[in-house]
Amino acid sequence: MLTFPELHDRMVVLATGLVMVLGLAYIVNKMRVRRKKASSGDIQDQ
Amino acid sequence: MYYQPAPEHAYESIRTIVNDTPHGWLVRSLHAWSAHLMVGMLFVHMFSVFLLKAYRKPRELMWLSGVALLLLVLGFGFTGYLLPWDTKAYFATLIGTEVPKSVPLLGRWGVSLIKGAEYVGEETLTRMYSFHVIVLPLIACAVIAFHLLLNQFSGVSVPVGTPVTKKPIPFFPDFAYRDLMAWLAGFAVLLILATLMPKELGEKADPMASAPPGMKPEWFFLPLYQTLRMVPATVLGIDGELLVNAVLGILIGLWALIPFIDRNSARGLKSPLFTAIGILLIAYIAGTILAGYFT
Repeated sequence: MLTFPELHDRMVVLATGLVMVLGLAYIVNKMRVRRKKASSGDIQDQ
Repeated sequence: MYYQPAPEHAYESIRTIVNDTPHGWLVRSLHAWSAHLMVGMLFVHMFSVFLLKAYRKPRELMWLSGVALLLLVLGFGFTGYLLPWDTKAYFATLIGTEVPKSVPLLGRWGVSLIKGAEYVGEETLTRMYSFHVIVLPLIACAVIAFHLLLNQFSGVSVPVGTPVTKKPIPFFPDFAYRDLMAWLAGFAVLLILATLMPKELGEKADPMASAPPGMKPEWFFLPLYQTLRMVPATVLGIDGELLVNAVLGILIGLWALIPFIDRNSARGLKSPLFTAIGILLIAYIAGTILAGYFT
């Protein structure tokens, strides 16, 4: 059985990790969509 | 580093990593779960390549290096298993190192190369450690580089009969973004598993004690374990273990040579026989894993 500090430690790690992963996924997805639009001709590179 | 590859210290050093080292439990858990996920993904990748006949000409060498990588990864799993030196690790390795002994000529030599002594002990642990952290990673790096290089030359395969009409997608940045998204999704799964179901450490191994009942290897060795359980001790006067090892050796050899055996795919034709073989093999592997796990 986990003690409260152990459980707290794990939850902090999980929450921090998931926030980082979701943040990165948001940025990467934005770049991916931008690239897709650019290659289909919607955005002209200056 | 924190881990000490000696029977007197290995278990204690892992306990220190898990209990006293800041976030040591997380690193150990990430390592263990990523190993399981890697083997799982490797099987998924291999069977998707097999069923889509992506091994066909001109990708024969890519398939061969992929089979070598599968064996290497299973080697990583086997050599890493003993390192915590807990009861399960010790006795599973003890049983696991007995299995290849029946293979003529190479069996005993191979086992003594890994064990280093008659019994699983200090020599075995240092050898397993060396294989796990030096020998296998060096070989794996070279084979992975070769595998990826071939992929760069041949490109991504399309299923048999599909006309190549689309312009190929450049790896960077288009494909890399997609890859990164999949990688991030995989990392989120790994993180959830590692934090909510951390790898446990059993009791310290006692080589003098008898093996506890119900010892089982890791899930990816269960097909072999279950097959050995199902085959009688002697079949038509031949030792059952020797028979299973011989059949397994032949099957791995044939599996590696699939691109040269499946001539229809090489000519760009459909080959339903090989699709059926792949589906049967998946069913056998899944069935023996489930049977080995629940019985």
